[in-house]
Amino acid sequence: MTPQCFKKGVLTALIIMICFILGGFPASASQAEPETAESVSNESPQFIAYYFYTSKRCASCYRLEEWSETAIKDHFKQAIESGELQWKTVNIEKPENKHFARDFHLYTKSLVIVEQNDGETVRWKNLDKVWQLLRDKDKYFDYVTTETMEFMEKS
Amino acid sequence: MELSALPMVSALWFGILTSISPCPLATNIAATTFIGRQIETRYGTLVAGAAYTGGRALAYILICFIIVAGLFSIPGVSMFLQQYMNKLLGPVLIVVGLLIADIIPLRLPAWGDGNSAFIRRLSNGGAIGAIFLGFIFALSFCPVSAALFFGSVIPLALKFESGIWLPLWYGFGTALPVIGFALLLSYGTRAAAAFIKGLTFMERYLRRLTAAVFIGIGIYFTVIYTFGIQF
Repeated sequence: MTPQCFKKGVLTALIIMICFILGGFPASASQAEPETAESVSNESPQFIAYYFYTSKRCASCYRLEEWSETAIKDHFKQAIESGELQWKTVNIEKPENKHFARDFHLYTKSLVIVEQNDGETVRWKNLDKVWQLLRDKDKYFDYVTTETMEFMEKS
Repeated sequence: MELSALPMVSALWFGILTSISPCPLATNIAATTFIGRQIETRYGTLVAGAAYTGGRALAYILICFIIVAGLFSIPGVSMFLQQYMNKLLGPVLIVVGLLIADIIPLRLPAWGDGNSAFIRRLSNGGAIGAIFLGFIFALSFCPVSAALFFGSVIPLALKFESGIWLPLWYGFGTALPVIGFALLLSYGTRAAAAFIKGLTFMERYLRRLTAAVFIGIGIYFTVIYTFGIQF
């Protein structure tokens, strides 16, 4: 194969790939969706700790979710068991969940604590410092539990 | 509000924190090889590094301006860039890799002999390419960079009414570790060139390495982000 032929081949492959992309290849066709507690509960818990994510996951995102869930479930065991506090993970890229991004002004994967009254959101807080603390597990746990506790006490 | 040293140091730290997190690792490696391969002149790496920093800072200042001007909301800009820029980045990296490898020849426009020679010199020295790379890499937000920029730097910029200085410091912070590693690569290669076959040979070797890194990372981004295939 001559270098000219090789260059032509590479350019042709590139053009085909770009056409393929612009043609609207389904980006999330084969993405596996993790099982989550996304179904809307009939009960009306007072507080919900939401972890909002998108279909594309990353190592830091998994860590954020895991640490948040552990911090909430371990520290607020009684509130979880009584139903006062719920832990939920929500994919905001699903059409039925897109309103969460607008409701809570989400700009990335986020941990948000919400107070509800008869299913209506009364107030909420985005724990936005979680991303700054991803390198320090103790500080992360301390931040999440303290903020959640203060939020619940204000009710 | 008067801008003190603390918010600037914070913005710088958020930039470093972004740069050392795992998600921009692939683009950081690409940038490191691109900047580090500028070994033809003694200060080539520093010039390319400064240009790369400028490109990044320019992107952050532009986003800050768009948000401060109220043209778009923070969630709107953040989600748009996270969703679409990474999809675009893969094919862009492949094209840049092919340009570096000289598989696609780069024909620069000639605006008279003087200008043409100047542009070619800048391009060969990596400055124009580095500005372009810095700009496009900065726009390719991942969850960590989006959280730190839109959640920490932008609120600081709004609070201190500093739409230029704080994004600039953040941009400098995101580029700092890349420039550090690029300098190590560059001066290490220059030192090695004294023992192995000379600078031209090493330059050719680094050019091939950079092209391979760009094409490899480009394919990775295309598969993961553009086609959405998860492994």
